[in-house]
Amino acid sequence: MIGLRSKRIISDTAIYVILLVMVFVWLFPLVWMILKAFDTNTGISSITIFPKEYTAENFKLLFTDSNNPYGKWLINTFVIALISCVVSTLLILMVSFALSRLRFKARKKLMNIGLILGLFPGFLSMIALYYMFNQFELTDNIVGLALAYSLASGTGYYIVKGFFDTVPIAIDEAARIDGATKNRIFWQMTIPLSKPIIVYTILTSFISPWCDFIMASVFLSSPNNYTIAVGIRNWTTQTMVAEYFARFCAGSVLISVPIVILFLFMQKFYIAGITGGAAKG
Amino acid sequence: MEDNKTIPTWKQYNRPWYMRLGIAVWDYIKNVGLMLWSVIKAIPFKIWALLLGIGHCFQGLWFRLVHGDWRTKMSYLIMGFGCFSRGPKQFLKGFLLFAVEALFIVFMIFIGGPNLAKFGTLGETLQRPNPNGYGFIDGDNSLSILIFSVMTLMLMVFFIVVYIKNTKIAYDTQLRVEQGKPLSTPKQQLNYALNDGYHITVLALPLFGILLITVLPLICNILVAFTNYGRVDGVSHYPPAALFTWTGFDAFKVVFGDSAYGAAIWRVLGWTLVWAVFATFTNFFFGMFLAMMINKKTIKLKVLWRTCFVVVIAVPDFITLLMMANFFSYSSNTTLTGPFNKILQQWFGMTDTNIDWAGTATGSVWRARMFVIVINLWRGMPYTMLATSGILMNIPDELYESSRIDGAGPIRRFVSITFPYIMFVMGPQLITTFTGNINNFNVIFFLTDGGPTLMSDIGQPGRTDLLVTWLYTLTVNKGQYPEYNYGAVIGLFTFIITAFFALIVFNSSKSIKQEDTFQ
Repeated sequence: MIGLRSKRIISDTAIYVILLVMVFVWLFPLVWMILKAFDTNTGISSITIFPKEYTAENFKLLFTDSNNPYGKWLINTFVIALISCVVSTLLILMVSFALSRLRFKARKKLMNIGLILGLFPGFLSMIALYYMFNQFELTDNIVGLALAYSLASGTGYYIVKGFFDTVPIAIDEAARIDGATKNRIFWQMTIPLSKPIIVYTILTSFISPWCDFIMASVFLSSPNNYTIAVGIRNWTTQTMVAEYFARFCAGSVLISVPIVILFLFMQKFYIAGITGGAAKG
Repeated sequence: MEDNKTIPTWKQYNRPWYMRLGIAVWDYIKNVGLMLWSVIKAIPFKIWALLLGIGHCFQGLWFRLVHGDWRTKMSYLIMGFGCFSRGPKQFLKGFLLFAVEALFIVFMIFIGGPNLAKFGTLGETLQRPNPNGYGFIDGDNSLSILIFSVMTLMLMVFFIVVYIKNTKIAYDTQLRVEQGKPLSTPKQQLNYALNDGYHITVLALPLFGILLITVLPLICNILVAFTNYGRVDGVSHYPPAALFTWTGFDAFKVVFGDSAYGAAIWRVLGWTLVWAVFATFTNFFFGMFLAMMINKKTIKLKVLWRTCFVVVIAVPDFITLLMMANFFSYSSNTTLTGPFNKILQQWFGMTDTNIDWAGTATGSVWRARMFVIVINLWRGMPYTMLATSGILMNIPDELYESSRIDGAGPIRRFVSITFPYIMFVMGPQLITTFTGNINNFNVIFFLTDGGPTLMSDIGQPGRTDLLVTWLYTLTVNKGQYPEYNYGAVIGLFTFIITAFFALIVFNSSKSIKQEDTFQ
């Protein structure tokens, strides 16, 4: 007979072992990538698993090789992310406020249409969009790309609206009785009360341009206008990977570190978005 | 006996657990089917209601024309007349309405009209060499005609709405004057924009963006499916050098008919659905079990475990995916093969191991498909883990305690409490993930780029290509002769399939909300 206590110890040990193995499997490729970023052997092929010698040369080359201006890409992506995050955040806040706090005839319909539109990948409309932007010389242009990312972001109101819904409506009503306009309630009450979700929106819309490849690769054609994703992806093509793989790793590590930190910071909102969205609506 | 009906069948404890699970899944599918049917049933009514609404609008338009005074009647010609002709208070309002009309007319004369006139043919004049020297004299550009025509049609709808609103405003102003009520001052009008009409003020810009960036291009790309924009029978139709025109359902006949594409499309759809099912459910179940392990009461360092997995999803996915493609890379030379094969050789003593894990170099279809699903599990599972953790923490402890008192074992507790609870919250999310996976471009594109392409597949998509990556290959990545028309057909096809599932999400989430099983 095994007692309850020893049974628990066995099952816990089993879980710890499984978790340890899994963490190893999950993190090993990332650790390997970080080590590879310091490799003196810059290609993908090598005799050993880990680098034989370590150097910081790959990181230095990111900023000194004028044929592959990583520094320029970094600035481009940063500018795009900045513009896109300001525009997106404003638009999302406006839509969320309207759908959560205001009551008007087409409200339900707009919400439904917004949800359905949000389910389709932007990719389907990219050719016509590219042509339209081309007409106004907004292709191969970082401002154009930033607008393409952000102008339609109103469809992503879901999480913010969910948060606004939790702010008591009585506050609004009290302010209305005191004679505040809805405009004033929006700017001076709802927004200050929603700081955490606004931080979340700013962070997500700031991060997403760093991760996008398709749209950027369609819109940008000259190396000086590349974003990070388009630029370093070229280093993994069949012809380049034999020489540039370590530099790809170095470039990846450099942008991943801040993004990972931001992501860890906002993961609790991510959970709230999923679980809260379904339960509250 | 009445009460029994309201208890879901999977809660009847006298059945074995696997049967209850089966019944739960079956109920879920059945509900989805019923919802779908109710949506389809409602479509004719929706259309009828829309027609009625439009009819009502025109009726009102006619009524106000008949009963309006001369100022109101003039508003039918000159928008805003009913406002600015009644004194300085109403100048601003009238002027804005008039500005809409003026801008619309200017737009129609210079852009809308000329493009719309050619909408039927999408242009007939070819560009021709400039007789005076180099370059060309511009002819028609079919794509530009198409896009601007659609834009014009959308603006026309907007204009009609404002126009009808204008007659309403004119008539209301007339009534106010007749009844001797004071007219609104500019300050009151501004106050309307910040108060009762505030939804218009805040929604105008976002809606404009969505219509311009999402809806307009989407409509255009759907319309391209009915043209020959591409290379058809060896003839190119690329503006500005050449024209394209409407060809009805010809592109559909090629994509679904007796051609290389027709031979491939059902295969690609089949794999897309298989992929979406596996990608969704492997992530869901493994993520759920991982979360249950981490969240077990006696397990310590929960935050640390969670963070280790979350790091993987925090790194941008094009980086992790490209890195994995190389981590598992293969070289015909055993000593130069990728890191994963090296690990097998050096750590596990399989000295001659040299496996093409991604399957693209050696044309192994099944290895390629396993590869994308497994790597997707590595990449996507932490998302489910994260979401499920949040849910597990919310399950009330009393549920478990009372079930323990009733003598329920761990499996019964999982089937009767944990799993239904998770499904309740994650159910709608699951179908959203499913539609997301149908369109999961990144995983396929960065891991295998649709490969392997077998000898028998020449001119066809590869064996891991999804509809959406095939669309990419046909349009963006086709080099000299992109096939936009076929791409658009495939895009439309994907759109319909996604819409089918989107509809389910939409209705199931609504109906699940109405159930108060756990609240």
